[in-house]
Amino acid sequence: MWCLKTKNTHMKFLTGLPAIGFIVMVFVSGCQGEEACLSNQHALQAGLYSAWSKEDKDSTLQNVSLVGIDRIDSIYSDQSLSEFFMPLDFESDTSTFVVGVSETMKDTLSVVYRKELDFISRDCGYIFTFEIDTILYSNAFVDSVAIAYPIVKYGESAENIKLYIY
Amino acid sequence: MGNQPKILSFIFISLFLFSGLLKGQNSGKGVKVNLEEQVQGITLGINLEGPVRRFFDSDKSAFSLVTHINLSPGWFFRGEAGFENLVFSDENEQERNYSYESNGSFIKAGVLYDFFSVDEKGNNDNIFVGLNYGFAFQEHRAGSFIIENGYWADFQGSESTYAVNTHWLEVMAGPRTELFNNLYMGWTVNLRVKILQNNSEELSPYSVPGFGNGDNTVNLGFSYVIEYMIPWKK
Repeated sequence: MWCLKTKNTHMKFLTGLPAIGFIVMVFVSGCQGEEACLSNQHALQAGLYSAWSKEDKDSTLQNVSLVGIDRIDSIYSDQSLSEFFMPLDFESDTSTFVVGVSETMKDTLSVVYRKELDFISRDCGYIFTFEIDTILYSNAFVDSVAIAYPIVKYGESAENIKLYIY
Repeated sequence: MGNQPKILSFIFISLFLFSGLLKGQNSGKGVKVNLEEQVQGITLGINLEGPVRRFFDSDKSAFSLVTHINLSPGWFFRGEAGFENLVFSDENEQERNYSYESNGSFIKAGVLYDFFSVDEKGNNDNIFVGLNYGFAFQEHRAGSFIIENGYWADFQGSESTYAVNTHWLEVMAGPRTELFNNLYMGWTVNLRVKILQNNSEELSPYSVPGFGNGDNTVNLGFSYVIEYMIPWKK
């Protein structure tokens, strides 16, 4: 076995041991960083595409308003957007939104999903993970909707649905 | 001023020892000079790491007892048993959006090898390297938690008390010195690797007793022990 030998020594650690040990202990005890937590991780990401193009082509809508059904406050109001985020309701399995580009041109989008409670970490606590099941929609200016990536999960940033618009 | 050479020699010896270990040197000639004269006995002591940590983390109360038994020249059994209670302060609760309570205890058992050898009669200092197995049992709960939505209603829930078991391996190294007759003080740096945890619910332990941060698979820890030896052979 590997061994350390010394001779004629006053090699007592008496003085150094407690001091160095205490410094190391304080250093180790005091050095616990906290994790940075992400916010708004429960929103479905929707991209806008032209319904006239054979291939996926980004499209931008002017004067977009987005509001949850039975809600007064808007998520977006008169904005120019090529993508938007729709926060999902924790207390329901369906979140319904009204998306409009004018007073008369409005569509309803209903997102049907399953949700599962997750614990992220000791610093960030609990969150829901969603799996999108179905999208129901009207056809004022929305041609069709495709689910691109059905999972809405903490820490992931992916386009979940594609809205093809006229 | 007169103590400085001792401190420097301690640091030098420590560095020399660990650099030698890293190089993987293995000397067959490394027979301890005074092993047969080494005092044998059983120690009982306390680990000061828990009480000192409370200065930095007032949510946690931890205490443990430590024993070393000199099995044969150079080889020691090390055992440790203790408890850890943790309750989130209001500040922590608001910051993390959940309340948390945990009560648990742990045991560790393993062997240490003493690399330190000295010709000086009556010098019972050690430099240990060893491997321990650790097991913790804890009951924990999140009395309430909130998931903030920002648009729709926030979700409020709770997880009731349930038990979690954790197993880990721990590599430790550090010196120990005899302060006074039969009274020892030593510290070790511990590398802990979680090998198994049975957790049937979502909630993850904030801290595993004796292991540390419940999120991590690998934790770096520390122990600082004062112990008294009851010798059975001199």
